[in-house]
Amino acid sequence: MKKSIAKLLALVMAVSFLLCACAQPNADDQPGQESPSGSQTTLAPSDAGNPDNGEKVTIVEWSQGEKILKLKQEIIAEKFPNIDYQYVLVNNNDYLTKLQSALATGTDVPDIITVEITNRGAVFDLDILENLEAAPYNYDRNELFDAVIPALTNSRGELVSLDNQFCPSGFAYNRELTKKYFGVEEPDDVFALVKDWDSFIATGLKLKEVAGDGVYMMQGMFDLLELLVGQSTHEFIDGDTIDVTGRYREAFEMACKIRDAGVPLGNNEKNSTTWNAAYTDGSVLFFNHASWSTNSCIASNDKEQTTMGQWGFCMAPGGGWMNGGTSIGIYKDSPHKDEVWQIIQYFQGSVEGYEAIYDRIGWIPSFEAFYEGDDAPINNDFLYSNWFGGQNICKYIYDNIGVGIAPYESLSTYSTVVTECFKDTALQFLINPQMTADEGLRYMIQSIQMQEPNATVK
Amino acid sequence: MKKNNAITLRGRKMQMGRVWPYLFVLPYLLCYFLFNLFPMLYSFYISFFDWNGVSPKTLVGMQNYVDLLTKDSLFWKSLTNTLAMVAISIPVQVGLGLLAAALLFPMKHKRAMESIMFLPYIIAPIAIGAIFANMFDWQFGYINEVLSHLQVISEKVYWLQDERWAFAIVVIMQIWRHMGYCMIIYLAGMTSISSEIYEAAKIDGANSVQLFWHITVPQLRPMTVFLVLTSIINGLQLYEMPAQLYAGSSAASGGPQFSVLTVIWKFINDAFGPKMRLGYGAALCYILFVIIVAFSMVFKKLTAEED
Amino acid sequence: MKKLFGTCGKMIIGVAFALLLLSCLIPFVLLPLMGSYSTEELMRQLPFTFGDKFYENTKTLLEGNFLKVYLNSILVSAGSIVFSVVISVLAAYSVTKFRYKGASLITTFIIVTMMVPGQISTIGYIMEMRAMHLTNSLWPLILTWMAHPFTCFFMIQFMKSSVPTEVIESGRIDGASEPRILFSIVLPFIRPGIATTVILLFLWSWNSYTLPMLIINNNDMFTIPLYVANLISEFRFDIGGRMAALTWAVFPVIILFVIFSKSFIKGIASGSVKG
Repeated sequence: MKKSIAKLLALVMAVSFLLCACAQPNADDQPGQESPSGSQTTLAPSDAGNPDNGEKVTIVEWSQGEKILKLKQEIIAEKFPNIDYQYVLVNNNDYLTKLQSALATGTDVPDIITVEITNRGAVFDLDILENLEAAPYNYDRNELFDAVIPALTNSRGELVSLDNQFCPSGFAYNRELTKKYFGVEEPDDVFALVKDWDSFIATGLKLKEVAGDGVYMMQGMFDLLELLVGQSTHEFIDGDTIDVTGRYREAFEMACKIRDAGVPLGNNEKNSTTWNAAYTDGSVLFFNHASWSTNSCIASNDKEQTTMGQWGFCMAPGGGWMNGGTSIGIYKDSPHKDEVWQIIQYFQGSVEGYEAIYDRIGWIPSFEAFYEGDDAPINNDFLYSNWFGGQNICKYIYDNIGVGIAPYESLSTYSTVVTECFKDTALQFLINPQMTADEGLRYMIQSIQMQEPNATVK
Repeated sequence: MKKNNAITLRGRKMQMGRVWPYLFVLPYLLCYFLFNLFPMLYSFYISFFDWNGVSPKTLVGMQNYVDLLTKDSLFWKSLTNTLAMVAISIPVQVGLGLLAAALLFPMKHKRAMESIMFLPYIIAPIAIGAIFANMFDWQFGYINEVLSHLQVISEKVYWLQDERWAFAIVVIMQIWRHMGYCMIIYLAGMTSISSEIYEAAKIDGANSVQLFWHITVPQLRPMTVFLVLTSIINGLQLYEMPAQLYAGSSAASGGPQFSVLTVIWKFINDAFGPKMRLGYGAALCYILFVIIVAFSMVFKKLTAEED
Repeated sequence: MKKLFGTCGKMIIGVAFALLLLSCLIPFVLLPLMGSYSTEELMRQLPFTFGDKFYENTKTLLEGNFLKVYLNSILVSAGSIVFSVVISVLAAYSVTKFRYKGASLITTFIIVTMMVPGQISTIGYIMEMRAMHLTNSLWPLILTWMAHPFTCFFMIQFMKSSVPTEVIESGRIDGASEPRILFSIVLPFIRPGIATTVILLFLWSWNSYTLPMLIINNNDMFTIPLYVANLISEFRFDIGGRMAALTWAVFPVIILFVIFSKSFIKGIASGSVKG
């Protein structure tokens, strides 16, 4: 008898322990992020300084790239004592699924919705973002470069998102390598090697001669296709009609031409481990590079900083293109939309706010004010220019590529699927060296059609 | 089994005795209703709507089911993929399990080997997916490394990017995970075969292969039925392992040209992917449910007829 | 000649079987092996011997919220086990050892519902949890195991075969109350069965990924499989860290299995075979 009572007691204890433990998270979502950032503690003094500034408002953002998020957290703690800014690291591949399940479960939807360029069509289509041009925000889209507006507006033409970074791109290269193989290292001289696609091919063939196997012009067909596709933007989705052939044929043919000419292209799938390793192992000469890539690709792959100061930046053959990028918007049902807007306005809309990001992370913004006048921040050095031996690549990007760059394509409900299928096709080009442009187009059309039975794909 | 036929106490005790069984079974029924049955019915209800979880629901009647069955070629692709995976993996995993059991059964110290064979079954599917993804990575996977060392292959193989290889790898994963489980079940079955049958057959001059085919296999029939049925039910719900195989890849989900897209993977994509069509996803699940029930019934019928 | 063929055949079978066994061990070697290197080292050269970075990789994990994640997983598993086992034992006792209207109906119901694929209720379940305001907690991951048809079915099988009805009757004649009969008379008989269900439930809840992925959005609420799937630094996968994390994820399962392998294997086999 006693034994059974003891057992019962143990059971009850176990259950109540569980009850407490499981309920606990509800009670303390305030401190929440107990780990990834230590900045929580640095918050304390400013807290104490304003003992009765009312309730502290918690704003949550999901994103990837901890460095920028930490920086934002620090600045917000200082600048907006009424806001407790928390971030959750979410892998880009999982972002959509996680956002959807948050929306479905109705909990933990972030107040700030961060959207990678490839996901924007799908996310904007969900109609979960505030129109930033309406009251109370009243943002004026004329502050932005015209080229970025199509990628920030939903299908009704409402501006629902603001750019995290302006993404005109060129080539980053390792000076040591260009010096070794071609005897040049200055951006202008290196650009002369790749000033158009014919020179690119000739340089590629020469590289094969001098370097032999294992050294490549680019990461692979994947990156080459991305570049070519980026350079040839034009509208191709009209209602339910998707003109894949008209949009991608030229890029696919050019890529095949370059490949078939014998230019050594790598075998790296984008964002794969080997792709990342190529930044430091000397196997690749030219990397697609936007202002954000210095932090995300070079710095994060070279923790020991062995290539510090060795980098150079020049234009790519065929001109500039928009490469990647994230934008942020306000979640429609966030209880703290005003505070979110304060943050967005500060970082995405003010020179002062963006300066810190530019200075520490090396991003550049999409609003003109940042570049105007002689004392514009763009003329200053920034932390990441160390990687480029002091070359101000941000200014270079803006002056040579950003001004007059072709606009993004408008977003459609099909944009995300099309981009996914393009990636899939590019991967096929990468692994199948015999694939022709026609085969690529057929593959891509089939993939899209399977996922979108209601669309006309041609 | 003996029926408990003597609950014969009188008075208040008896009254109580009547209440207790209901009281005991109540939590289960309550929980089943709350956390299984009700959500199931609610999913069924949702399957008649077009709903993304955010905007208001629109009643579309049978449209989701009709679209799935008539328009959505990707659904059919995922279904044929899954059925093919199940059809290929089950005979192999059950066969390997049976052979391993037959080998192990006569051994004296088999505990260790038994446990080793069973290990793949107990680790998380996502861990298996991650391990296989690493082993078959074309650039720095062990498989390519070892094979090119042994000079079996001259160029590295794109295992996971090739439609047929990708499919094969998923099948291998499935077999590898379940063969130990099959073996355990068969081993248990073998202990219950009486040794007299074997003795009698041996006297008749049967060799060990004949013993295996004519006595062991037929005697293990109930285990085989059980294993095949549960493998079909579980196999049709395959998702985590193949999905994890492509977790770090930039390619669209489902593997190259959707060659390893399974029904449940498609369900997750439809319901929680870019389109977020909850009603459509719910309808997909119910179609899968009907398929599973159909399979079980046909299978039960087939095996019952032979008996 | 025939004998030679026989020994050759035996050897081939033996070697094949040894290879099969070896293949089953691969992941358990590969996980800690790869987990003991940094990602950079792994890319340079695939290792075949253990490296020295396991401690370092683990330390990196602990600097993140791995400890909290681990605790979450333990809580979810413990909760699922306690509730599910108690509920199943009660239900199984009721339908096997009492005779009342509906007992056999409930048994049939439990057997039939075993066939229902879990995904079918997923969407409804998420909505329900949302309505109950439980989505910000670990509860949804526990509640889903509460009434688990397989566990209950297994308990029913076990109860039928290993608890003699006579003992219960004599207990009743002695005037013991039903809960007391259950705890002090029935329980000792079904202990092995409980051990098996505990391990099974532990495996299922510990390894479960899909439902947590859909229902948990808060990093502080992550369980191990979720954490591993989300393990990223900047834009890339940290393979060494991932493998170390997976090693830690698999570790308790192996330990439990090694300790209980006998009753586990026996239990799982008997439970399913008698079905």
